[in-house]
Amino acid sequence: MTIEHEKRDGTPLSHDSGSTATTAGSISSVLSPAALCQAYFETIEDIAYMLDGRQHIVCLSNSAKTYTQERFGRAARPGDDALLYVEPELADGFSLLFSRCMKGERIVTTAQTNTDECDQWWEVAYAPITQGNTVAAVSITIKNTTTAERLKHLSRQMGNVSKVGAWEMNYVSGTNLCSPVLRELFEVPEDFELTLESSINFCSAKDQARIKQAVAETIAKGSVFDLDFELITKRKNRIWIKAMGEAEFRNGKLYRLFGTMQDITETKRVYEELSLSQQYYRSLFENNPDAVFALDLDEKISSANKQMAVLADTDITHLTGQHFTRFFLPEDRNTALKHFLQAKLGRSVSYDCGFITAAGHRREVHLTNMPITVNGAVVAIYVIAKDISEQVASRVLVEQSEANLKTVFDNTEIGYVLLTDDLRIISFNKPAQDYIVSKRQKLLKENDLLVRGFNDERGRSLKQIRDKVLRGDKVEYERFVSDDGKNGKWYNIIFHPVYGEQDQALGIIMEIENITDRKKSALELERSFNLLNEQNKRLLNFSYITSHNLRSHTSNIKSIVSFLEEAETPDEQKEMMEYLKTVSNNLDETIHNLNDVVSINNSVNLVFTPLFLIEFISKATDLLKEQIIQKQVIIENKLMIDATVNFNPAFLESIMLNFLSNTIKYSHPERRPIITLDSYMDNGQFVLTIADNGIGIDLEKNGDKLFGFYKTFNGNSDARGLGLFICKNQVEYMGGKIEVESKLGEGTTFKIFFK
Amino acid sequence: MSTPLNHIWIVDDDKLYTLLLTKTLNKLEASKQISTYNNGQAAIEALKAIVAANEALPELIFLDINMSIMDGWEFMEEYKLLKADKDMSTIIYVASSSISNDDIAKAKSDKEIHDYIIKPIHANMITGILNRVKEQRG
Repeated sequence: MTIEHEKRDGTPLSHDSGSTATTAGSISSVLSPAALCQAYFETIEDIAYMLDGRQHIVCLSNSAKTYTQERFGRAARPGDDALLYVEPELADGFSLLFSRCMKGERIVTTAQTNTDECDQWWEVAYAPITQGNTVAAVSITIKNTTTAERLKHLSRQMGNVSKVGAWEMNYVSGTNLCSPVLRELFEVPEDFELTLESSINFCSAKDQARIKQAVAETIAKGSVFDLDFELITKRKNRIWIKAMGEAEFRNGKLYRLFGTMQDITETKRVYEELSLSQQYYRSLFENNPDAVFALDLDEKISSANKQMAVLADTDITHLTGQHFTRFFLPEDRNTALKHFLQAKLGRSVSYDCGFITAAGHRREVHLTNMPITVNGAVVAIYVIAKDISEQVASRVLVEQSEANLKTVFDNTEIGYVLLTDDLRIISFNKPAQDYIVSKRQKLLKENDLLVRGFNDERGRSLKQIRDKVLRGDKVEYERFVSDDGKNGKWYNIIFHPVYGEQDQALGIIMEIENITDRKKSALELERSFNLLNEQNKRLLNFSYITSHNLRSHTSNIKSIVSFLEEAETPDEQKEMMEYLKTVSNNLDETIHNLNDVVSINNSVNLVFTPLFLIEFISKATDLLKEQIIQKQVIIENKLMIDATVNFNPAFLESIMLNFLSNTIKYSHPERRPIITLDSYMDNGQFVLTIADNGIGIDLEKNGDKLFGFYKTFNGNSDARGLGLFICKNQVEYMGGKIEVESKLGEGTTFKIFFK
Repeated sequence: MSTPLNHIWIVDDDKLYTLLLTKTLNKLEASKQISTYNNGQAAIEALKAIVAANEALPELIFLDINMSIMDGWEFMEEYKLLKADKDMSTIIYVASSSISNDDIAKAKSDKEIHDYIIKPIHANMITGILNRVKEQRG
């Protein structure tokens, strides 16, 4: 307050009672001194009292009256004891100061009062009023300094918080002022003489020069300086300072320089960080290999990088401000807008679209919209555009070639199943599925294991196949799958490895080829071959029979004839005639047999009927009755009475007759012949066994001759040896077979397998 | 006729042929003794017995091919085994009714078979054979 008064009018208005008393004294002639005194006090704005030596109020200001009324409940009046209006806790201090003042001392104190509502600061001035050399009274002036105190307090607080320190250089008085905050900034002790000049020493030489120049300019031009610089504090901390200052002139001469210094280290740091990250982002934006552009919320391009300009066949300046869908294919614009809106809602989205560039080129683009959010609100959208024309083109090509392959794959007649190296199904085509269905196995399904639905044994064998294939071998086999009827299908199955670029086996291809037709023709061929072979054999046999048997008869006839011609006696002639008869009989029989052989070959579509074996056995034994009786043959029939075979009756008759007569013929001369007839089932095939205890055959030596050709075993050429050959042909013709077991000297067992 | 041989064998299962050939040989007074065997087995056993007893071997054998039990070819196998241990000067003619070229070629390729004769054997053929046998035996 005091300072303000001084500043306002430049002349100090003192309340010194001394000088006031002097002034008052000049008009005392109008009023009594006491009235005059009271009148003066009423002009004083502050709370003021004049007390006599006994501390009793002589006179007081209006403010004092108001104050006491408010504070103590009654307005003070002249004559009252002043102690009535002193706070009890201040009473002692008051009395002490009053007595000191009575001795002539001038005292200014401050006091603070605290009430529930507010804190108040007071400045209390005690001034002695002298008459001559004695103190006659005391003037007490109480000023409420609360506002000033609080302002001072606030400014100090402010200085601490914002780290602003103040300084002043007075050129007239040559004094320097600096606020405590400033010392704190420089981290210097309280007694450190911190001036503008000394503070400069904390900066780098370059900054010192800058500051000096700025100060010089301020002094020269009266301008304000504002500088940021870095300095190292007394404690070696690096801080940034914002220094501001101005000059004040009086009468055209520099009066003082004053200003502030603020610690802006934090601000500076944040700013630098921001600027750095801004550079980062700028660089990321500008140097991004992909086209990047930013959109404002009005769907307009606010900025774009070089790549975007290249992508759109234009330059950056032609992009900014454009509606972003301008470069999209008309049919893709809605898609683009839809995705823009999604990004506007804060979602990051990607999509593919077609571009038409400024030059009219078509490009395929993959776009990613990224919302830019500031404090939770989307303020703009970044779009990254990738040119995927080549990928799209190659993808289309791959898709096409895949489609082509797939078409080939699906339309080939060969079934394929592509498998991983652990037999998981990757893919398969229809013929493969058909094959699996025909085997009544579980349907093929992608990602399934091939072995699923197979039994353990088949599963194991598949795994063996896999191991073999993965070692680089090919596994191939044929499989016959029969359907309900007689027909079935032949398949050729191949497993082969699929090699990668490094020749490592990546997987397995199972190839299923229907080879039924091929197989059928091969079987047909084989059948024809066998037939031809068989016919050839028969021809050979036939020629053998011709060359041996017929020839032997003709040579005998020739011999006999020549004997007849040279016969000298009728007896001799007669003998030769007898021989001739025998030969002609033999010849006749041989020709009959030959006819039998030939007729089997000509028997087409022979009738099969169920036949009782017993019936045919007894027929044969009837025919062979004479030999049976003569050789006392025992026939053991172990056959079931109703044993039947499906056969041709004429053939069965011939077979039974031939086997039984053959057995009887080769009975052992030293024992009674026993023939055992029996049967058993072999794999559903009826087998008739005819066992004897005859002379037996050395199968190793003569086995091949047994059924092979016309051969007699007993040395008499009655041509019955042909019988077995005929039987064999007949049985085989009916789809059966004959097996023989024999031991020389012990006996023979024939096994006739009926179809 | 010149001097007869001591012993001729006929190995054949055709009884009529054997009879007629024996008759012819006798007419020609070809041999003092004629033996007939109706299969190779019987003949080779007889031959083994002669060798064992160190008796005189037949000078000539007419061997049929097609016989039961042991045929002509098998007889030849056995004969060769026998000859490996004992020097035998017997001359073997294969006499068969077979006109099969296979049989003829097989006989011709066998060094132990002197010749292949297609039946029937005429008297003048026998005379020729006898002369050759005698020539060979010196």
